Amino acid sequence: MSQNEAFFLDTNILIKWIYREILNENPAVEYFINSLSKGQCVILHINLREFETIIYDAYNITSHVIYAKILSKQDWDKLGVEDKLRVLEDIRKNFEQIYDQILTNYYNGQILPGGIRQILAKRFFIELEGKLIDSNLEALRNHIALNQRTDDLIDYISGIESIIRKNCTIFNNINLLFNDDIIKENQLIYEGISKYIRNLRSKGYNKTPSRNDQLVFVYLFLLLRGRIYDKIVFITDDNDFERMYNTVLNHLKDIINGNANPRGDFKEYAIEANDTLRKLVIKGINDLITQQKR
Amino acid sequence: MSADLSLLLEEYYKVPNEMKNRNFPVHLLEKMRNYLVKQYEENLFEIYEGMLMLILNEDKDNLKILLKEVEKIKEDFELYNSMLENNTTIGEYVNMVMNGLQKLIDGLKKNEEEFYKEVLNSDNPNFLITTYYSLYLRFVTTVYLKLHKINITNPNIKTKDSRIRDIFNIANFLVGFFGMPILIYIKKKEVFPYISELSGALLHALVADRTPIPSKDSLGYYLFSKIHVVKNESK
Repeated sequence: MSQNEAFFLDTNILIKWIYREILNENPAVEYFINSLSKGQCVILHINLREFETIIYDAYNITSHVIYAKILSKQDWDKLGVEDKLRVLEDIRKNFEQIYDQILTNYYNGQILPGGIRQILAKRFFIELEGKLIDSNLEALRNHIALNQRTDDLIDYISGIESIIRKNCTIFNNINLLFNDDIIKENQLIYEGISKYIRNLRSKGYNKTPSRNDQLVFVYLFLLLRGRIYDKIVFITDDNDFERMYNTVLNHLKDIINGNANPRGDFKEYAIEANDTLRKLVIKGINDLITQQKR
Repeated sequence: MSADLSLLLEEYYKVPNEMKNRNFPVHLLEKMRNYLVKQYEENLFEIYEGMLMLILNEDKDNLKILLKEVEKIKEDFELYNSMLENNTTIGEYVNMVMNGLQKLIDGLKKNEEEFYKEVLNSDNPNFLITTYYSLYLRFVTTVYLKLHKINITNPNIKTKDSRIRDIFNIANFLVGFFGMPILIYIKKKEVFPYISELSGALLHALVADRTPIPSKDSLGYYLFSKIHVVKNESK
C-alpha cells in the first residue's frame, strides 16, 4: 500500500467499538481497528461530533432521571444506606420506563428515541449509584443540576477522545481549498444526493440520509478531490451510505451519457467527479471482519 | 432574572434601545428562529469549519475563504455591518468586539446559577438548555481568550483594510449564532430544535481545545474510569 490510503469510520462503528462491552458486540471490531495504523484509521470530526451528541443526550437524560427521582426529594440525605439502595434499585428496575416517560414529557422532538441513548443512560446511572449513595445532596446537586455537570461531561468526553486518539487520527480541519471546478463538481454531487432523497420520499420512505451523512459524503469527496487521500475505505454498519453513493454515481453517469443534461456543458465536471468517487470504497464492517478471519 | 439575561443578549445583538426587553418584537424572533433553522440546515459545513478553525487556532488564510461563505449569513444578522467597518479603525473595532464579549461573559456568569434554577423549577424542566447555557458560556470565554492573545500591531488603520479583521468578524458571527437558542428560550420558553446537535458541536470544540486534567471529584472522570479504563487494563 504505497498510496495514501485510509479507513474512515462511520458513527455507528465508533459506537460499536467504544461501547463494545456494553452492547455485547463482536470483539472483532476492536481487533480490526487495532490492526490499523494510526494514520490509516481516520475519523472525521463530523462523525465524532455525532457520536458525542449521542453521549450528550444520554447523559442529560441520566441527569434528569436523578434530578426527578432523587434530588427533588428533600429527604435523600436523611435516608439510611439500605433505604437509599432500595430507591436506586427501584429506579434501575424501571429505568426504561422512566426514561421513556421523561423523553416523551420533556424532550419530544429534541432527543431522538433510539436504543443506544437509552442503553448508555442506564449504564451511566448504574455506574453512578455508588456516588449517589456517598455524596451529600448539596454536592450531588452541583454535579447533576448545576454547572459541574458540564465539567463532568467534558472530562468524560476527553477520556473517550483519548482512547480514540490512541488508535486513530481525528480529522479536525480540512483545509480544503475550493476553486471553480470543484464547486461545479460539488454541485453535481449535491444534485445526485437530492435525487436520491427525492427517490426515497416518492417511494414513501421516511428515513432519508441525515444531514451528517450528506456532509460526510461531501467531505470524503473533497478529501479525494484535493488528493489528500488517494483511496478511502468508508466503514459503516448499514447500507444507507452505499445506496446514496450509487445514486450519485448514476446521476454522474447520466450526465456523462447525455441523458440528464443534453447540452453537455457539465460533462467534463461529471467525468472528473466520477473518477474521484471511484476512489471511494464503502465497506460493511462485517465483510471486513470475515475477510480478516480467512 | 430572565429580563436581565434577555437584555444582555439583546444588547449583544444590537437591538434598538426602545425595543429592548418589554417591547421586544417577538415576531422578529420568530423570523430569526426560522432563519437560524434554515442556516443550520443549509450551512452546517461553514459553521462547523469556522468554529473549529477559531477554537483550534488555524491559519488565517483559511478563515478568509470561509468568511466569504458566511458573509451572507452575517449580513442578515446585522451584528457589525460593513458601514461600521468602513468608519472605524481596527483598534476601535477590536475594542468594540472585546467589550461586547466581556459584557456578555460577565452577564452570563452572573445569571448562570439562577438560569438553571429557573429552568429546572419550571413546569418544563429541561437539561438540554441548561447544559447548552454552560457550554455556550465556556465557548464565549474560550473565544475571548483566543482573541485576547492577538497582537494588534497597527491599531490606526481602517478596519476594512486590516488583516486581523477576519478573525474578529467570524468570532463575532459565531458567538451571535450560538447565542440565539438561549434568547429564544428566554423569550419564548422554547427549546431550539437542533439544540443537541449544536451542543455536540460546542462540546467537541471545547474538548479538542484542552488537555485533559480531570479533577478528582469529577463524575465524568469517575464514569470514564469505571466504564472504559478497567476494561483496557485487563486485556
